[in-house]
Amino acid sequence: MKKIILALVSVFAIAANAQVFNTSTGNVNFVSKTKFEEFSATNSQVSAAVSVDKGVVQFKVPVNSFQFEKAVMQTHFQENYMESSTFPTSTFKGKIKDLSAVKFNTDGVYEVVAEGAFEMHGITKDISVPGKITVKGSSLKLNADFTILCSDYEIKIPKNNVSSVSNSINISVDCSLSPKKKK
Amino acid sequence: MKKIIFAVLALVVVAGSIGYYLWTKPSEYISDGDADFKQSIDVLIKESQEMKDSMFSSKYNGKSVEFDAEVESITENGRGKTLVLKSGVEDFIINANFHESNIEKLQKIVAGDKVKLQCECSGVTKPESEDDLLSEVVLNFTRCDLKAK
Repeated sequence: MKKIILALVSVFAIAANAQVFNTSTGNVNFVSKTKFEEFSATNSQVSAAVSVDKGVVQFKVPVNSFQFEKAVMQTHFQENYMESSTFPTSTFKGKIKDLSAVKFNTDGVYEVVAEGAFEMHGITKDISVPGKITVKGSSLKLNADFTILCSDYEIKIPKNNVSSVSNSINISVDCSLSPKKKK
Repeated sequence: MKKIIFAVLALVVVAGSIGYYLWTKPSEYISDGDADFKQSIDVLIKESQEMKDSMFSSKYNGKSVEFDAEVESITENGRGKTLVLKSGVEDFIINANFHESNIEKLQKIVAGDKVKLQCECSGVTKPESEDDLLSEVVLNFTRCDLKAK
């Protein structure tokens, strides 16, 4: 009997470890702030996934889904800055550095660092992003705030817009993930 | 001379006003005006699967599309809402995002409702490899408006 219970526990443990959490309706916001102007945009169609056993984290951000308050900014962002017809998505694929510190079966807030490749505007850079994983019941929440430089990703800011568009962009990530449905 | 100065000033004021209006103009709802495409959701799904990504994007991205669909679930995200629509295809997700200023129309919408939407197509994302954790195809629509229930 003991053996059967142990076997069942092992099977459940493996199943839990192999679990993937995902969403296709995550949020990413960014803010550009200069002395003269501040603007922001929101994207609520971010795909994100976490593999609990390997600690792999993936994000896919459809560039055309960013929404601005001003129509003219949205057009400029898509056509002139991000060139979204050529580079329609931004992606991040990395690993949670300190995976053992996250207890995916215990509710709590865990500080983590994700390291991996961030691709935007056709340029890929290795980045390290501090963030938080919140475990609550059967769902996960991923939060992160970080800064990127437009110049690192060859996003050109025209000289006459330097006073209104910052080279330094603050990005915040807020994604609620649920267990991926098994096929 | 006075007339010329007055005319120039008037011109500057008009040009400035037009410039200010264009700069501060809010993002329009894609439902303003006729849709660029009136398409069945099945055709959109089929085209997104069969057409090259670049061809699908150049045909639909940034264009307004009117279509009928069934609501699978409703997600609140940020200050807006997203209707997740039934695709009838495994691993194929359709997201229709409503801006916060347009979500009161969704108050009576529940899962299972059949809706007519007019949205801006913001593209399709696909898995990049077999081991991609993001293994679903996602067809995204933004700035949606509920045309009928």
